[in-house]
This record gives sequence, C-alpha cells and structure tokens, in this order.
Amino acid sequence: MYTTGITRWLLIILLMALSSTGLHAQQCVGGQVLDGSSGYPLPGASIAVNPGQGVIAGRNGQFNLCGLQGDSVSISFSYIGYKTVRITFRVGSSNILVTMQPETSEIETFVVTATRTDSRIVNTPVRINQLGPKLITSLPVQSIDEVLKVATGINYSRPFGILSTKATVTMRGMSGKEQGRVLILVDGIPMNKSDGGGFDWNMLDAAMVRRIEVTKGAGSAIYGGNAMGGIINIITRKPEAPLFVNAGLEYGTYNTIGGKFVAGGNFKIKKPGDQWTWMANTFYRQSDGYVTQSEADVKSNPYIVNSDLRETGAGFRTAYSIGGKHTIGASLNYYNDNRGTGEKVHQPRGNTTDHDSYGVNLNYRGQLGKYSILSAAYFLNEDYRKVNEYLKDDYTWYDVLSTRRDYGWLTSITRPLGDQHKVTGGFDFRNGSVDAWDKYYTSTDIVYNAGKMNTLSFFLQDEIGLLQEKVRILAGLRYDVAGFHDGSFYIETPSQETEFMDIYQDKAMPTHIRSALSPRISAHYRWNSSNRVYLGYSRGFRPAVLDDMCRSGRIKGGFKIASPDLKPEYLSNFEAGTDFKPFRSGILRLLTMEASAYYSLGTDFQYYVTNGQTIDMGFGERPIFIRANISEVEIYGAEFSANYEIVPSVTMFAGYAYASAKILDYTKIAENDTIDLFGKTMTDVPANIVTAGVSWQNRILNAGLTFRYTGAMFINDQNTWDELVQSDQYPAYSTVDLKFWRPVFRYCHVSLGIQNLFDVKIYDSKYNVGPGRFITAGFEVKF
Amino acid sequence: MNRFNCINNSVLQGPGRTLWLFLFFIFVVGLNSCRKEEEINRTAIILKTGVAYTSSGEIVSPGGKINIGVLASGAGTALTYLRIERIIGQDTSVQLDRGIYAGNEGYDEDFSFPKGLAESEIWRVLVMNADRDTATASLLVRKGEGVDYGPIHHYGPIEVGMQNNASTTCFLDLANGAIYDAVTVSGNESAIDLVPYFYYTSGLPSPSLTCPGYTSTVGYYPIISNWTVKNTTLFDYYTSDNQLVTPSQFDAALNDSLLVTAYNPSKVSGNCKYAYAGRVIPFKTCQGKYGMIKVIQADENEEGSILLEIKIQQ
Repeated sequence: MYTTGITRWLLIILLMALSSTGLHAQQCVGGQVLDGSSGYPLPGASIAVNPGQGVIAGRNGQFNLCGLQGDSVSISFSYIGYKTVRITFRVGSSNILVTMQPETSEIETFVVTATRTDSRIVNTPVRINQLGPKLITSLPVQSIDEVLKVATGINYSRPFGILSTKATVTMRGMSGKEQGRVLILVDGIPMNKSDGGGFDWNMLDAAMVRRIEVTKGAGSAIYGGNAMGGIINIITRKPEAPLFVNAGLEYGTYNTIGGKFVAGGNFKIKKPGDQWTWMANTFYRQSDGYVTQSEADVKSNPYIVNSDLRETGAGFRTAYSIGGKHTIGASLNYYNDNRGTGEKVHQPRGNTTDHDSYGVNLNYRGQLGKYSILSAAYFLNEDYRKVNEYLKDDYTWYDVLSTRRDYGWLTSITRPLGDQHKVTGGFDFRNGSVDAWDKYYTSTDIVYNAGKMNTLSFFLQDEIGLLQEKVRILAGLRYDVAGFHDGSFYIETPSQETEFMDIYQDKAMPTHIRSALSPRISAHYRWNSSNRVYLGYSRGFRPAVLDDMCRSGRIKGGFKIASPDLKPEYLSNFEAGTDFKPFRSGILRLLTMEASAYYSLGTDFQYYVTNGQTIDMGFGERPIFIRANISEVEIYGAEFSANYEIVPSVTMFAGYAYASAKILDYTKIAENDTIDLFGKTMTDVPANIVTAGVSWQNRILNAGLTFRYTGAMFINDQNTWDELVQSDQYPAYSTVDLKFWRPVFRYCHVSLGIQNLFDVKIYDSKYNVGPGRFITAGFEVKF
Repeated sequence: MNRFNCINNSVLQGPGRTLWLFLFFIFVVGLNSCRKEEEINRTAIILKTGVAYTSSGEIVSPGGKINIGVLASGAGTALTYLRIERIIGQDTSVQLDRGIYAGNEGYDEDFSFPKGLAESEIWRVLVMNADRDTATASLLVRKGEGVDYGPIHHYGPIEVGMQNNASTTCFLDLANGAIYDAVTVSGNESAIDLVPYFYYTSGLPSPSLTCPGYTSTVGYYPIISNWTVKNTTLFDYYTSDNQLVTPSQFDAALNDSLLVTAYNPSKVSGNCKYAYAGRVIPFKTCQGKYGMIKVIQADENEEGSILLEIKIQQ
C-alpha cells in the first residue's frame, strides 16, 4: 500500500509536470530561419505575429516565439533583401525550418568574393555585380567570359571570338590589353598566372558555371596581387540532385561543331549529415574558322589560311561532407586546345598555339566551434606551345615552349566576436614559375628564360555590424612579401637569328624581395531594405610578372629586354556609391538602381619605355624597350546600372560606365628618350560603355536580347596616329546579341544564339578583323 | 522548379551508373595525356666535287670564286637550316645563314663566294634537320698569287616605276640592266631580281627595293604570285642605312673588288627600306652575283618612280 501510495503521488507529480510543460509548449512556436537558395541561417530575421509582438532570429537563425494563444498562429517572417512571408503554424510546433526567398529571383543573397567569407550581399559595403544562372542562360555565349560583357563597366576583349587565343576582362579604367590588373578566381582559387598575369578563359566550360561575382575596385586587402581594378570570381555548379546528366551538341558559323557532357550527383550516407557529391564534365569543339588578317595582309602573303580551332576539356570534382560541419573536396581539370593562327607554310597545321593545362585542387571547409575554416591547396600547370613559321627572305620556323606553374595554399579562419564583429584572418602561400624556351628549327638557337616567385601573405579583416546592421563596416589589412629568384635568360648555340640578343644574356639574375601593404576600409549605411550609401578606400597592387622580369625578345614595334628589378604597381582607390529603389510598391516595385563613382591614383605603373638604345633584329634598327615603373596615373569614373524584374519571367537591365585613365607623370629612364607620355590617355580603355538587355522566359519561346556599346579607345601609348587603323583611336562600335531557347519533349532543350546580329566588323591594332555575326544552334538533353 | 526541367532522379540512380560515368571521364583524361616518345633522325651532308666546284686544298687568288656545292639529307626529317662559314684562324664569319625546308628529296644547291685576302680559309657548311641534328663538311682554300677581281657591268641611270605607276615599267633584271613591264615580263620572270615600291613604315616614307622572292612583294605586284620562279635578291640594308659606301666610292669602282667586300652577309634582307637618293645598297642576286645600287632619285608616292645606277659582276 505504501509503495502504491508513493507511486500514485509520483505519477501525479509527473503528470502535473508534463501537463505544465505541455501547457507551456502549446504557447510557443520555435525553429530556424534559412536562406532559401543557399540554406544558410539568417540571423537577424524578424519574426512577428503582430506589430510589437515578435522576436529577432538568433545567430544561427533560431527563434522561439512564445506567449501565443489559440491552436494556430499566423507568423510573419521578414528580412532585408527577402520576400516577406506569412505562415500559419500550430501553436506548440518546434524545430520548424522556415526558408525565405530572395526578393528578386536572380540575385544570390550570399556572396563570398568581397570578404572571403559567406557574407550577405546586403551587408557588404562594396560594389558587387552578380551574373546569375538566369542571365547566363539567356546569353548566346561561346565562352564564359562573354557573359561579363553585359555587366556594367566591364572592359572586354576577345577579338576573334572562339578563335581568340586570349580574352581579357577588366574594369575600372584598367587596360583591356592585360588581364593582370584584375584578379580572376575560380571557386576562390586565383587563376592569374605568375608568368604573364593572364588567365586562359578558354579552359572554362560555360556549362559548368553557376554564377559570377564581380567585385569592383581594389581588393588586395583580402586577396593580394592582381586585385587592382577588381575581382571576378567564377562559381561553378554544385550537384543539386541525386543524379543528373546533361549532354549537348551545337553547330554554328564557320562549321563550328561542339559537344559537351556534364553529370553529377549526391549521395546521402547512412550517417546523419554525411553526404558525398561528385560532378564530372567533358567538352569538345572544333571550327574551320575564317581568315582573320586584313585584306592587305592576304594580298601580300600567299601563306595566309583560316584561323581555326580544336579544343577539348574534362573535369572531375568531388566532396565529402561529414556531419554537415566539415567538407573535404577535390577537383581535377584538364584542358587542351590547338588554335591555328592563320598562316601555314610547311608545318601540317601551320602557325598554332597549343595549351595543355591541368589543375588540381584540394580543399577543406569546416566549422570547429565558433571557428569557420576555409583552406585550399591548388596546383595549376600550363604547357604552352606556339608554332611560328613564315617565309620572307628565307624560311623561319621556331616553337615557343613554356611551362607555367602556379601552386599555393590559402587558408582563412573566421569567427564572430560578440554580435557586431566577424573577424577573419589567414595566410596565403603561393609559388609561381616559368620555364620557357624558344626552340628554332631554321637555325641552331635555343633561347631560354626562367624565373620563380614565392609569395607569403597574412591578412586580417573585421566585418562590423552596428545599429541593427544598418551600418556595416569592412576593415582589412594584408601584407604580402614576394621573393623573385632563379631568374635567367640565355641562348644556346646562337646564330644570326638571335645574336643581337647576346649581350642581354644573364644566367643568374639578381634575386630580390618586394612587399606590399594593402589596407581597406569601407562602410555603408542602409536605412531600409533597398537603399544604402557606401564609401570606401582600398589599395590594390599588381606584382611584376615573370615574363617581364626574365624574358628578352621581340615585341610589337621593337625589342624588349628583361627587367628583373621591376617592382609592383599600386593603385589607391576611393569610392562612393548608392543603391536605391525608387518605388516601394506598384509595377515598378522591383526596379533597383545602383550608382558608383571612383577616383584612383596609381603609382609605379608598369609601362614599356625605351632605354634610348636601338637594336637590329634583322630588318633595321628598332628601339629597345624595357618594362619599368615609370608613371603615375589618374583614373576616375562613374557607373550607373538599373535592373528591373517586371515579373520573375521578364527581366531588364541597363548600365552605363564612364572611365578616364590618364598618365599624370612620366619618368624617363633614358635622356635621349623623345617620348613624353604626360597627359596621355592609357590605351585600350573605352571612355564610355553602355550595356542593356532583356530576358523573357515563357512557355512558348524564351528569348534574351543584349546590347553593348564600346566607346573609342586609344591605340598606342603616345596617342598618335596609327597607320593601319588610320586613326589615333579604335572606333566605337555596338553589338546586339540574341538568343532563343525552349524545352522540347520531356528531357530536351533547343536553342539558337546569334552574336553580333548586325555583323559589325571590329578590327584590332593589326587591322585583323573579328568574326562578325556568329550563329549557333544547340540541342541539349537533361536527365 | 520549371516543369520542363528534365531532371529525373529515378532514371539514372545507382552506383553502377555512377562508376561508368567516372570511368568514362578517367578515360577521356587519360586519352588526352598520351604522348609519343621522340625519335631523332640523323642528318648527312657532302660537298660536291668536280671541275665546277672548289676542292679542298685548292688555291684561289683574292677575288676569285670559291664554288661550293651542297648535297644534304635529313634522313626522313626535313632539313631546315643551312649555314656557310668562313674561318680564318680563330675568326669565324657567317657568309650564309638560311632557313630552308627540304623534305625527302634532300637539299642540292650551289653557292659561290669571293676568296678573301687571308693565306688560308676554311669554309664550313652546316646543315640541320627538324630534329635539330646537325652535320658539317669543310674545305680548305689557300690564297693564290695576285688578285682575281673580275669585270663589272655598269648600267644606268634606269628609271623603275613604283607599284602604281601606270607609265613606267617596274621589273628589273639586274644582271643585264633590262627592264620589263607587266606584259613584256612574260617569259622573263626568272630574270627579274628587283621591283620597287613605296609605303610608309614606322611613320616614315619609304621608297623600297624588294625582289620577287620576298613574300610580301605579291601584295604590291599580284602578278608575281603566278610566277614559277621568284628570285630572291639579298640587299645589304645595314650598309645602306648607315651609308657605309659613299656615292663617290660607287662611282670609282672599276672592278668587283668593292662589290664583294662591301656586302655584309649578316645584315641582309630581300626587302630594303628607306632607299633614299644618295644611298648605295650592296646586294647579291639569286645567281650569286655581287653588285651595288646607287639611288639617284626616289619619289615618295606609289605612283612615282626610282632612278637607279647599277654595278654588278659580269
């Protein structure tokens, strides 16, 4: 009985406790608020039943809203940049996952480039342009860099379309001749080669790209070298289904035939939170091409033939996620091309360029307590071969062979400090090298050049949020120290072909160490979800490239000698801008506008200048040039863009950019140098760029139409008359691109792309001509 | 999700298909990585013998001709380079440095050079094939008594039209001082050594002398593209640009002594720019004759002409 009594009392107490808990639970709703596209938590989201009755989501997006009455409750979730949603829940529900969708369908709400962390775009006080999958789909692009030509203020060059051996994408007054002043990242891995600063845009398959982030202005405070004019981060696709396969064929102008294949998937492992993903792709393309040379060249050279193309690539990437907190990934990419450059005398394919490239990347991304860790090791190798043959007095045939290697280890660690700070620190180690030789077959010469550059960097950054995130400050500082070593330039068994270079041989170039300190401070004030003003200062630098430091050889208009003492060039950038939404409601509610203005001062800019001497390379005296830090430049400009998503299926955009880039000071290195570059405008920088486009997706036929106007650009450093172009500037030109596409049957898509609809002829400095109108028809199967 | 999106998870699921896809990509990557080992073919050379050719140890007076006949083979790989050097003691001077392309047929060509003043000269011929394998052959030539400078022809003044000159003929036979127009040149193409043209280069007006064998000449004279024989005349632009021979020296030349010594074989081209009045341009024809051109007057437009005086070995 006694036992029975105690048991009864215990049962009563337990029931009362349970009843009490139950009563309490019934008055609350709890869960987590997540970003619908990325799955990231949304700390700071507002959760409210009525005005004045609500809570703010915690650091991990979690919330618990209590004091509710009744069986169900309608709760409103709102957050800057997201569509407000109201959902009805049963009171007492817990562990609810609420996903919020961005206000516009195109914009990713999290970006990684500006801060090297997963940061909300609205919280990042810099100018960022995003080119998302919807836009990419609507463009008739042959190469992924062509997507960027519709972005506001992008200075874009791909003179021969798919046949181009190189393309350049720059911004903010940086010359379109060189890629080295804008940093290119692929999934955060720096791709600019130490040898020339460039990036082989051809090696990326557009089908593998999910989106592109363009961060304007100097970004060396977090990324170091090359991030002078801005940063372009290409984010590749991730597997979003357990298994998918895309396969496509295309056919186009100049008998261009291509095929691509992408497959991937993800597998849930039995252990909760574990997942294995993989993705693989391959592509092939060939084109008969066309004659790129001028009519005068064709008349005077019977060996001119079509420039043509053969290229193939493949890639594989995989990642294993452990418990949702740690992800280890690896990727392997391979690319090979062979591009005929339009002259053939005796060699089977004539003059060609050939890239044999591969890259390996291992990365780790994890969460250890409050610390988020990103670490990646990469190795990039490019074996480049350029066959040169021509017949003038006699036959000349030589190969340029170059092995360019870049590898490195990048690590950053982020942790929040209190509610207002997110601190990121880290280090990068990079090594770049070139081992190159010109191997002559019509003489005995072999001309070698080699060099290496090691760079070690440390950085620290704080992302500060104040006044309930209305004020955001981004402050950072990075220190890079680089050592140049093993530089050499020498000739083996010289003949008359290269004996003029004899005195410039140097088998042991002096080693040296250079350093750069790159600060950034920028802030914005956002007074509501769509409007902000921002202000910033940042410094960027571009390291000297190995090709300038180690190699002597012919260049257009003369001969250049190696410049092993070359220093980095620097750019200090001041910037202000605003984002605004002129209409809060109505049909123009989703019209957004952005405006920025910048003023940059460059010091130690690298230019080719004459050393006052001349050299006879076999056709008379020519000036000797050397790359030197000789000038100060002043660059300023403004950008304005507007995006209007009428409905999710119809999007319009327009942009205008003005840039002025002038040389403020010119320090001659030779007394007899008669050139004065003071006040001259930098070459290959259009003063005006206009872009516009519209995309309409519907059940019958999807369509994308884009327009680009590229203003006139000076041709040479001295802004003088050019005999070939018959002007001192390349003329301005406009192009219109058009694409139609639609699904057919259950698994298929067809598309028709027309680039340069009105067949505008665009010429380069040698008066070589671009491809004109280029039409591509595509067929794709997706499972 | 778009209703037309073709992703169908049920169709291709399973580790077996995944493995196949993975193996396919490994295969593609591996296929592209294959490379063949390089083989090197050996080059061979002999110098021709006989009465027409100078034999090793032969005595030749200064100014006399050294005749060298070259027979070479790349043994299955194209021959791509020929160099002929004159070696006097420790001093080596390159007399001919030429890129060539001779396939399975091999290389067969004769050359002649003037004997210098040295007591003995070694003439070395080097050929190389596309595998960069080289072979050499040499002959020793001793100095003979006296001198053997030869007689010359003196032509001029001869007016030759630029590329767009409708009234003056353009095609010049240097050996005979004969000039042809687009009609009369028919049947005489193999005799043409010089054509002039005018253009701007490096911002400067340039009356220029070129030859049918220089590739870009067809841009100014399209008719040449149909010629089966296109002679290459090598002009010594260095001596011309630096005015190392004066018009009075040209006028004083009575034999080929100056003609052969003024010609610097290391600075020659089939195209000679800046042929301004007063310049003297040494040259060597495709047939091995040395000569000099004195520019008397040169128009600076495409419709003009150039007035030349020529001295050439007989």
